[in-house]
Amino acid sequence: MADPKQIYRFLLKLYPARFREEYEAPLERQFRDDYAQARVRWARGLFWLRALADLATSIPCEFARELRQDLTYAARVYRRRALVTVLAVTALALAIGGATGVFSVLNALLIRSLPFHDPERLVDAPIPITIAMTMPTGKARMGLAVKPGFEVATYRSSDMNLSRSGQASRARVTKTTVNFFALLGAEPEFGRAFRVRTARTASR
Amino acid sequence: MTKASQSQVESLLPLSPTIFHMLLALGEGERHGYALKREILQRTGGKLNLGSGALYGSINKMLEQGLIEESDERPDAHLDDERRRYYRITPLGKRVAQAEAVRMRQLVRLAEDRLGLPQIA
Repeated sequence: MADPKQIYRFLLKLYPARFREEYEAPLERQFRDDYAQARVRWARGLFWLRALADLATSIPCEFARELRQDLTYAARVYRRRALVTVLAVTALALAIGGATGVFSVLNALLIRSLPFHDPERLVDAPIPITIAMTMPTGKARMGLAVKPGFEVATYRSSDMNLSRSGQASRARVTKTTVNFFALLGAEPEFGRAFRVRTARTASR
Repeated sequence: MTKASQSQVESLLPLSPTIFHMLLALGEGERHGYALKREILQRTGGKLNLGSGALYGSINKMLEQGLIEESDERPDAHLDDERRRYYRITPLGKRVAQAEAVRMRQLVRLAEDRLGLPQIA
């Protein structure tokens, strides 16, 4: 069985370094004296319970005290050197702001996945328009070889003139197969996605 | 006592029972940590049994607040372990302990007025 004093010495390493340097020796000595007084087994068990409870309460207290001391000291130093503090805080704010901005761009462009269902399984394949537009439901038809479990959706974009109340405007219009939104796992911003019945009606 | 000194004393009140007992014990003379623990245990009839961490944590706090200081004097080597550190109460520590005692006396008087305390046998 391990030596209790060694176990206690090991547990003392959990205290903040400054406190440990100052009080390690008296703590060990007191532990040794108290442990020697607990002669029977149950008394030693009780003693260990008390020692552990003492460590569990005093270690966080010492860390909190160290933190408070450090913060107080830092506040005092910063107050004494206001100009340096303002410059440091400004530099920090700019650096943090800049880093956040760069990360936001990188995150949007490179890190964050596309807002589609299973984006890693999406492939944008250039298919001749004549073949693509003959697949109204997007299923593998017209001799296009698609493995089971895969699905094809097609789209074709073009610019068109739109007029409303006598005012014309240029708009980007995209024709898609009916399964386009379902395959991407995305919903349109406005209105609703296509239904299979819509496609059937359209293909007649 | 100056106003600044008075406010310094009041800022440290109320004291925790541990620190008050330690100041009382040190009011009688210099003690090392373990002697403080034994004396408090005896005085409270075993009710306040300080663990090592709580004891030296309180000592550390009191040193930081200036309530006690480390004593350079050591007993003869044959009487005690010369590696032990001895502590003594500072003038500030004494004033704080007195102020705490006054605070407690006022509290006891209030309790007597409101509740009526039984006579001590």
